[in-house]
Amino acid sequence: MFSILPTNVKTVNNRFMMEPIKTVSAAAMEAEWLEIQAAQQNPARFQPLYERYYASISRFVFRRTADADLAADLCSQVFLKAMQRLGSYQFRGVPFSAWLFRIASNEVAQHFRSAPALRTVSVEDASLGEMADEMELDEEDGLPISEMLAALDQLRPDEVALIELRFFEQRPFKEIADILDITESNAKVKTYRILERLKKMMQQKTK
Amino acid sequence: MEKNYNFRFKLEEPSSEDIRKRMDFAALLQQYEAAPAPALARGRVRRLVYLVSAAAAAVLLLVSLFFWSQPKQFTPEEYFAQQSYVHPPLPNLQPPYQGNTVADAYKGGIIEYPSGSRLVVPASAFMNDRGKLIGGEVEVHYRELHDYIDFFVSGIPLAYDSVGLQRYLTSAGMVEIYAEQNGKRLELAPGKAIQVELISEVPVQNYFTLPKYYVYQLDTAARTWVYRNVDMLQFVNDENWLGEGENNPERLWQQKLTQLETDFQQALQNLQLQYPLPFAPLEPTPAKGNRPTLELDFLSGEITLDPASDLQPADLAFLHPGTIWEITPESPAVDPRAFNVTWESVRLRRLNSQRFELTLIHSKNEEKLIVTPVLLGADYQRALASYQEEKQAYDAAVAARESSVAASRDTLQARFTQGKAALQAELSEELLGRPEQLTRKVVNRFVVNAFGVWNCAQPVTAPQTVQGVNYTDEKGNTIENVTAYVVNAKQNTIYRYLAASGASLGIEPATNNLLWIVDKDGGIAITRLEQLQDGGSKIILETVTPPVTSRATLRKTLSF
Repeated sequence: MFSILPTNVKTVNNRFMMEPIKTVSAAAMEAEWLEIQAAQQNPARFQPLYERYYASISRFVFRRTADADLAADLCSQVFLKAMQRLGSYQFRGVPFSAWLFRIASNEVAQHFRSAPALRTVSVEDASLGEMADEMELDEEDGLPISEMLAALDQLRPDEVALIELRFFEQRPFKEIADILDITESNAKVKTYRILERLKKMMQQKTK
Repeated sequence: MEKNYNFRFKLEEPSSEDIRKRMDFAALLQQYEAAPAPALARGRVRRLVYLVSAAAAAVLLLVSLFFWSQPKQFTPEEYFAQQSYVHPPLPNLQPPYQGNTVADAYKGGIIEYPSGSRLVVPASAFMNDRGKLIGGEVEVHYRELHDYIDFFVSGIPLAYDSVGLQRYLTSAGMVEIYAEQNGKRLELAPGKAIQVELISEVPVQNYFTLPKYYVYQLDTAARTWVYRNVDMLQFVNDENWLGEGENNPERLWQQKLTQLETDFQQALQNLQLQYPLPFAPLEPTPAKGNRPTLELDFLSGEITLDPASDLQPADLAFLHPGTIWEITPESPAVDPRAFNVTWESVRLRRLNSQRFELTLIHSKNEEKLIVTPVLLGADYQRALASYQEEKQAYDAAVAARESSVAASRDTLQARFTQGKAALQAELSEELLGRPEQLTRKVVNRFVVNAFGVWNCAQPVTAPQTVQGVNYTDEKGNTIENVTAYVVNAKQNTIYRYLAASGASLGIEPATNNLLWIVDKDGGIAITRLEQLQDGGSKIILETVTPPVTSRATLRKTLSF
């Protein structure tokens, strides 16, 4: 005799389970600030920072371009800009990685302003499910994926960026705020206003 | 409708290796050096900036001319921040790794080292950089670091920040572990941990008291040690710890202790013989009704027990009248043909209080069964009543025995405990008289859930520092901007300071301290210190010649 387990439990995407979001401790930020200061004196000392963040920046850019070669080029641009602007970088209790992600976000946006291709948004079913929960959508007939994507397609680039960071990359609001250089409460308020708008767009379409 | 974004599901990301292949810091640095700075603001602002830049350049030139011949003055924090966190000063003299293989990563295995240390690798412990569990052969690389020479050449720092307080870790032993398959580094899978049993020697205050150590993991990204757990330490009591020589105090002590334990056990046995335990009555078991039974009456002589049987009729007197034998569920199944055989005799062997091995014997065959004695109906009721009476009598007999025996047993126990304590005190006093630090061999038991460096250690306060220390070599040349390594005879740790004009330095007072530096050519200069003066100590280091080229020579050079 044996029993069959129920399969209606929502699971988190395994990719995020293997890349747990690590909060950066104050001690680690202080130690990193010393490295940054050393790099400000001597660009060759930027190498430890480059090696530490190259992979995460590369993946961040790849998810927005879906092109490995383009991602590598843009990634190099990100670090070049970071080195060029490092002199003006000041430690304000925010992780250095957030500054790099901001540069990366701007580089991607700049690229797609002039490129003929469309900006890629990497989506997961589970993330759309989470969004649907937040929007309190009626999922009786299953997840309305095409309606959600159609609504997402109407968002401005900065709004898509916020949804991407929160739901598709599962970043905490603190980190999103650091990357976008806004307050944490502002990040939360903006996110939920976007979700409200998405819900309205979907409801109007249904009517 | 025109689309604004390209939504992609399950976008397969490049692997860590693909990403690593695209990293090229040298190219980036070239690009940086060739690329013009970002465009400045226009018009008046630009002219103003030009003027200010020109003035600043002039000032800078003057200042640079002044400072050109001066070496750059680092603070200790700046100096150490510019180095990699683990900084081997003599890369060719690093303690080597021992490589061993786990034959099947899906099964795990145990690796034993000549030092007596062991690693227990669980099943399915390894994954690649994409998070996939891997099987097949895995190479585990392992090294142990035990003393300040090992810590020095490995370049592993022992400074420890504890809630904002700068301390150091004095070590009972360190391990570094990593694993590879076909040259590619592996990680430990989530939820998996390797058990480590690290053999080392530690100083003890008292021969019989275990010191307290804790387990720390080196976090090279955060550039700090992280507390993980308590070190489950145990003394190692094998033949090797007793030391050399027949009259060695530990050996003599062990012999006396062994004799004391033997005498104690013998006395307890004699007490048992003097007051034997009454025989416990067998509680009757009713037949289950759904198991086959055999009616074999051994007591009446109807069935002959084989002379080679463990039990004879006299041994079965405890059985209740009417006992039959129920074949137990764990017994081999009865061959139906056994019922057609005329068996010649039976052997009976007791397995435990309720189980017997019954062997039916024929010249041409034997049938083995596991049986238990049971009773049916009225026989069971009678046996139960009889058992209850016998049990009461048995309990009373046991209680009476206990009251006779207890006092004697307590006396023997107290005598043994006192004897053991006296022996311990005797040995402790003997060993206190020794001039050298008392040490004992221990096994450090802990688990590692990630590869890297793990340390069994205790935090100790950093020595108080003095300011204004200046360093020169024996020829009077100033030594600047190198690391000064300091060790002392009391603690198994290594301190690092910046050796520069006017820098700070700390040593442990009232003990021998050793200080050395490694110059840019790998040469060593050394001195011995007992005290420092605040605000103006001059340290003169003697260059070691010829240069040190082996770990053995290094140990001799850097000894107290």
